[in-house]
Amino acid sequence: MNEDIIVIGGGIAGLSAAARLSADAKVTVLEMESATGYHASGRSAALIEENYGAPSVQALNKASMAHFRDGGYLTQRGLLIVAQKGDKEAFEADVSHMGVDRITPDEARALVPILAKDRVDMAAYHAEAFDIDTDRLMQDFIRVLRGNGGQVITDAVVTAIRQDAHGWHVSAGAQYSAPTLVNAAGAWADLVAGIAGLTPLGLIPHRRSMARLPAPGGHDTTRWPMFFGVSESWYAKPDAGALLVSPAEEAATYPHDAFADDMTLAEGLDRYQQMVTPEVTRPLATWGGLRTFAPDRTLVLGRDPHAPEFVWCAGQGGYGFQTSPAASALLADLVMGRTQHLDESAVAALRPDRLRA
Amino acid sequence: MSKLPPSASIAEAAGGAKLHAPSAARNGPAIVALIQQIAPARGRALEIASGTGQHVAELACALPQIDWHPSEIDPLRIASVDAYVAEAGLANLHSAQQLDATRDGWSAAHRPYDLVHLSNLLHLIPEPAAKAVITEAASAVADNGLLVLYGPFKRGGALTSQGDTTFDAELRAADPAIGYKDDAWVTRVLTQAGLTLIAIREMPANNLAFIASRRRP
Repeated sequence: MNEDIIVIGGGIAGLSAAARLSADAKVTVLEMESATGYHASGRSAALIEENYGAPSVQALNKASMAHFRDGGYLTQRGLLIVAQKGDKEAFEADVSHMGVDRITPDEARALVPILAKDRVDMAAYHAEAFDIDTDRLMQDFIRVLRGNGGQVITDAVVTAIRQDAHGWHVSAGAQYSAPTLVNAAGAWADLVAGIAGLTPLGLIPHRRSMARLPAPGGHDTTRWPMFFGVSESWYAKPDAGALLVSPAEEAATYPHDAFADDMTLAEGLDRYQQMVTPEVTRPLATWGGLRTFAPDRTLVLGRDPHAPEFVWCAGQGGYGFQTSPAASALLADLVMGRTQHLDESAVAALRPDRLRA
Repeated sequence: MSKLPPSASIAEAAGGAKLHAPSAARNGPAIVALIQQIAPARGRALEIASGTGQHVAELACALPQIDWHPSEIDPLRIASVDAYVAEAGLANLHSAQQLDATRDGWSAAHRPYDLVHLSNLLHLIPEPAAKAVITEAASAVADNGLLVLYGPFKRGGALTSQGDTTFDAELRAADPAIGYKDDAWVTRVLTQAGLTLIAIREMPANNLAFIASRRRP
């Protein structure tokens, strides 16, 4: 099949990029699993907080808000940080870089009534944090792609990539050819680069485990904010009548179908337990996901300086959904050679050139 | 219970308490063939939303090594399932238990099953209820056990046949909260219920079967 652009990876990164590119090109997305969004995109806590991430990530967050608001993808959630007496230094650091406002422990307990009175010594809150409707966001990007004549091929495992004078030739069950290749393969992005004969960028997947607990103490968790231990040592987030708790670990690993690490999960649940009164019961379910970071923890967006028809859309880390509207728009602008709407220094911080020096 | 269009729920009297659904008769053989390929060598199976009881009777007959436990929410259908169970007279087919599969927490009262099977329900209920069914069904699956979800679904957010487009529109006209669920959504809910997706199989009449396992790599 002859395309203008082949996108490898059918998670939020690849689908959003494909949707934007499809306005000007014939785009095919190749997804190795049977359904889109199977790996990291299907395991996200799906929160947007504009001050989360490196400065270039924050620039993407801010530039994404209009798309999220106009599309009605957001539900107000709020973000709460709770700390014990000995954690003053770490708590002050969180307050200064997360843009949260100090509140009293009593005010924190009014938001999350299970917080332990004798443990929560300091708290801070920020209302401007939102749940993202990730299912609809991905479906809408697919709809745009299809509306522009593009397609998503599932069960398409890439086994070979070669480039000749006509462009890239990708073997993935069938053969696909296009002048331009976009690498949106998430945890597999460096492997895809290797298959294409390029030097990897040093993108490392990091596991994060999750547990779903029954609603603690029988409380209705619906309106609770997402709440964090200091220095993101654990977090908890309401989820359809239950509570997700994560140890928020970043354990470097290899690309695979991730699952929770039981020991790490137990330690994280213990850190959560120290701050709440109800006893932690057996999780209803556990799972894991991979957050894939570049060495500088910033996305990698744009043409590879060593192979300009090889385009990176990778290193989303834990910011893939929250940055997707602006990251995909920037990627399409860079590929199509249009003026970028983002700040120049942010664009420089995002392009792969920085890692190819 | 959701409001359903006539096209969603055709079951005719079939003598005594027995009901007969032509759609269940049509897709029965494909479901039986699929489960024969993947079922464990022995064990216990739960069928959720057994409906008329046609499927579980065929499954118990075709898979004698498995102990089949049908379940249903509706008393009329429970009577129908039990009539099929009585007629089959199989040692590995048990009478129906009343179960509201959309109720949070039901799985806690069940000993884990080696196989949990659900056909043709998720498009008939709202998304939060469908999520509860999948999550609880996943919790009812034993280690190394399987969950099989069969039915009509959207693929990548799209309805992929004229029949599906019509049926989904009829469902949503009867109750705006119900209708086809998306394959990516089902996959995410399965994963976040602690299962590993093994395969999504294309089935006759543009149906899909999701096969997921509670296994550790």
